[in-house]
Amino acid sequence: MIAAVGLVVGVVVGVLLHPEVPVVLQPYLPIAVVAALDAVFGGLRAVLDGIFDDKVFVVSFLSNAVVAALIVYLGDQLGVGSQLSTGVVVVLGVRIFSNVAAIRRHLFNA
Amino acid sequence: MTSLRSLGRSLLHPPTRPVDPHRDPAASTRLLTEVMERPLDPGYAAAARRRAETGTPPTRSARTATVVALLAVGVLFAAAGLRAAAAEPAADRGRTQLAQRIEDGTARADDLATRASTLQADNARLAASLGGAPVASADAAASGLQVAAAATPVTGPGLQVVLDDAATPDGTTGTAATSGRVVDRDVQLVVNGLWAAGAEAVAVNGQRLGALSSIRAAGEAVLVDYRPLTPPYTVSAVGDPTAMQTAFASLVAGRYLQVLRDNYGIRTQVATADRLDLPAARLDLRFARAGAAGK
Repeated sequence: MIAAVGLVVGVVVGVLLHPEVPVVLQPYLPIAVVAALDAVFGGLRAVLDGIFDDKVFVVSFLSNAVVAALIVYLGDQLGVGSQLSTGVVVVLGVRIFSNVAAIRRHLFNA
Repeated sequence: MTSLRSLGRSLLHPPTRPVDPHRDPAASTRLLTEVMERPLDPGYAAAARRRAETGTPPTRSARTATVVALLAVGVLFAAAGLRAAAAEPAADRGRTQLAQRIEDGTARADDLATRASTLQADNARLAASLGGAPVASADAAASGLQVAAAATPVTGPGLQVVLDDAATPDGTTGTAATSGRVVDRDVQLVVNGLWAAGAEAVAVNGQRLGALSSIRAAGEAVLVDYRPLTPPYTVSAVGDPTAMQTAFASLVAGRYLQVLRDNYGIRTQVATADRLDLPAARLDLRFARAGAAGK
């Protein structure tokens, strides 16, 4: 519950403060969003499965974001940035989808 | 599924090559299966198992870390959303900037042209003040030639021909109205007709025409001396109004105007004017020079 409040407060703070994303980091923003979504939905599913663990959530969020950004950075350096971005988005997107499906099964029994 | 797999296997490993019996036939797709069927981080299950074994309750600091992480996620979402919203009219911004640069460039070119003509006038005055009687008579001859060469502004009575695109049913000009659009050829014919009818000086929308002027089209725009003009096109000719009007009507150009009006709906108007002010043309002569001797 308090975690959900934290998320909402974060969005509100972000909208109000309007943080300026450094130009260097801007290409990684979409990937970071997808990685964060993956972590959030994974955590939500774990909550519903009754096996949520704070440490696992924090570590998975940080490592997801860092690894995704790293892959894209490496791809940019090698000249295949857009392809690797697509790969990361596909893998994380599939995971998000499956996790949302599991959450749906939990919530609606359907 | 099995048939698909065997098909894939036979494609990947042609029968001539011995197949490794220990190799999982679906090894190449295992990653996809893994991703599809076990999306949840295995860490959660492992942590739950560990917790069940040791029986330690979640610590307060871990909970705080979660909230902080979610706070960061929220800020991230907001930042990404705001950026996406702000990036939307980027294309519009680019077009506006280009239009602004074109306007700036045109204004600068106009300024420079004005300055060039002022300096030319100064030069002429200084040359006249330096020379004596021969220079004065040469100047008189030159000023007559200047009118013909469109080097000086001209004022006098004359004839004005206005050409405008045909009116479309909905009042706007679009691609459907292509046949009713005034094109460079129309303007050329009218200008040539006015010269033939005895005009001494001709200008289109304030652009004086000289011996080197061009009337061309670029896309949908009519360019006079490489300057885009917008309809209506007003062709002003200084000369004897009545004589010009009669002559113009009997020339090919007059009949051509009639055809434009009748067949394409182009709005044309021929009227005499008591006083027309035509500016000087932009004269930038380019000519070859002999190379320096001994080179």
